[in-house]
Amino acid sequence: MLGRRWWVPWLWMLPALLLLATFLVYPGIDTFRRSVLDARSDGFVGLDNYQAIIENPNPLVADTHSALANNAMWLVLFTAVTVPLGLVLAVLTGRVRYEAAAKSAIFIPMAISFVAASVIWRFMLEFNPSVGTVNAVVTEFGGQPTAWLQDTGAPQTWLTERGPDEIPGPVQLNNLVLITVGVWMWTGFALVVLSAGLKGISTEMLEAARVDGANEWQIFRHIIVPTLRPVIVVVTVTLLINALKIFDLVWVITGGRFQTDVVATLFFKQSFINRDFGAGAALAVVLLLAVVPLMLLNIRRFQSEEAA
Amino acid sequence: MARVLFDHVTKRFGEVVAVNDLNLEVTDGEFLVLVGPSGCGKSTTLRMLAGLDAITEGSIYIGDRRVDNVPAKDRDLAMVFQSYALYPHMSVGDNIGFGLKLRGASKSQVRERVERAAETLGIEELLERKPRALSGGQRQRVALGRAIVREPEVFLLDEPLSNLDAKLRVQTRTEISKLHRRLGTTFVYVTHDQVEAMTMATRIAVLNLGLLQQVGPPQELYERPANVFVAGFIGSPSMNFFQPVVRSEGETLRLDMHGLSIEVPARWVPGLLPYDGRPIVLGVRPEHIHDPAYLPSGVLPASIRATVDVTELMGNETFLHLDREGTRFLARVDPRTQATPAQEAEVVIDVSRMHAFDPETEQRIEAQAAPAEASGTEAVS
Repeated sequence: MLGRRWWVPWLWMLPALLLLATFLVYPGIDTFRRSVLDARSDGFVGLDNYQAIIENPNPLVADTHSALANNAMWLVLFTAVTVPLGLVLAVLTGRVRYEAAAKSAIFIPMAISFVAASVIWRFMLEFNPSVGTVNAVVTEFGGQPTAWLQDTGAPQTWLTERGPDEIPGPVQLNNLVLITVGVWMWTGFALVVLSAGLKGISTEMLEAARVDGANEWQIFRHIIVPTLRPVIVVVTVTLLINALKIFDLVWVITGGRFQTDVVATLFFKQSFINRDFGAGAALAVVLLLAVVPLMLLNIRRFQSEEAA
Repeated sequence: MARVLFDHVTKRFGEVVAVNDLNLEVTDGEFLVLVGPSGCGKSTTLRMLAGLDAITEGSIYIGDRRVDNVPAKDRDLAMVFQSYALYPHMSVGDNIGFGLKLRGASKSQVRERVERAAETLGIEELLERKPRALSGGQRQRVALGRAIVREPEVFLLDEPLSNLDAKLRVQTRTEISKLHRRLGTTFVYVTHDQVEAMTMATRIAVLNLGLLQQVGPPQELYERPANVFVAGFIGSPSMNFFQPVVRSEGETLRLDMHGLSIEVPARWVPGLLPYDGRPIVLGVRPEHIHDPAYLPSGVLPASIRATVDVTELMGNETFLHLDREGTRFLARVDPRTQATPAQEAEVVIDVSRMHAFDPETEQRIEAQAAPAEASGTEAVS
């Protein structure tokens, strides 16, 4: 019988394996190779490129510390806001009559090109109130225009009637603004997946909890969230991976200027703008290593689901 | 303690009237069964009582408290759902104790009461398990446990046995009856199965198309159904209906049908006299049609010949599917009967157990009370 020959399964997997080898394994290995070579991939430099990431010798050209810190902030804040927000919106939109319209509105950012959405936000966040919608609203209500994308949190000098005045910037505002845009884009994804999970919760179970004496918050806390746990994990892991890989949004809105670089933008910058393939490849490897634990988590969860 | 009162309760879903002007009192400690075919409004009635569906018109009282606008969580009821609706992420113990925990009982209190409830239901060894590791019957017990642990004022049960296999259903039926006797709490039980209704209820309320048809103890519904619907619904297999014409003959009345003439027993005469010359609906239960060879005592016989379609031997009895000139009816006779399919057989109707109904209103035509018969019926509508 055909199916009994050992090589038959491999035959079926061959196309997929070839594709993986060509576009994933080979570039992966080659990236690692370049990360231990110099800028033009000529001479072997050992771990110098990795050392440079740690020591950050040229913060004005490529601020690796800022990129790593920003990426960590993305990872935590972006995920910590998007998942709960998506969950709350999924529960709330599930209860209104115009459910489909509400969900569509929240999902639209996912449907349009991220680059297009980023361009829109870049305009909206423009400092000049006659261009930037956000500052137009702020000034309309009597506020001062804010440098949403440029505010690095460094103390800023303002010229006042008394002369120059220094205003301390306690937080790096522009990163928070970028993360907010990221949340706006990805909440739709969390919402759609979580509300699909919500639909799977039997109404009888919720009614049972109600008769048991649970108020709406207790039902959410003790019934809905635990039942949705597997779905929440999927959404969270997906968003964590996306936060690690975040590129398009930052690249389009700030281009990584004003200390908004993340690892992905910096690696692109190093490779193709600063023409230092070694440094870029080292950053890419760092990114890859950061994603691996999440991938393992995903695979483990997938396997345990298969087993159940 | 807790009686339940439905006072002119109506429920509309858009144009559809699910429950129509329901007036019903469930006395304290009673086991009331709401029974009717699907779509009759029985589940809606229960859900309105539980606070899961809003009332369109009227009021519901639990005890002396009007609960129309009291949310479900504050009604102090416990409900057993058809699907059991257990919380899959909680252990059996946590499932049972959830309601207590929400009401702020201490951990030791919860544990003690959960254990007591589990003991009552014989599921002590399951407390650590998750619902998915349980069989259907065990889940059903957990659902019951979740209800009894709260010691509520009223128990609501929505078709709790319909997901169990036949054997387990019979067993659980008796257990729920026992539970009711032991707890002495008011039970309101919804089912479409009249056998469950007959076996468990202290009183049955029959609903059809949102209207309450009759309320009364099982025996009364069986003996004196208020209308054609109740007569056909209560009793299994269901009652046979014929359409004879009433004809007076001197002092007596006769029912004529299919070339057959039956003399009306004396106690029906006053009731049937106004129908002289008109048709009525005659109801005869299958168990009141006998094989003449095995006639029990006390029967007022009226002989009828019919073709046997099918015989079904049940062991303790035989069902004869009979056909007389196109009118099909069922007889439940002694298993020793000689009747064979496709042949004509003689059967005997026990006229003393007949039921008569008005053909237009379908309401029961009352007979004068026989000496042994129960008194007072609560016919509605």
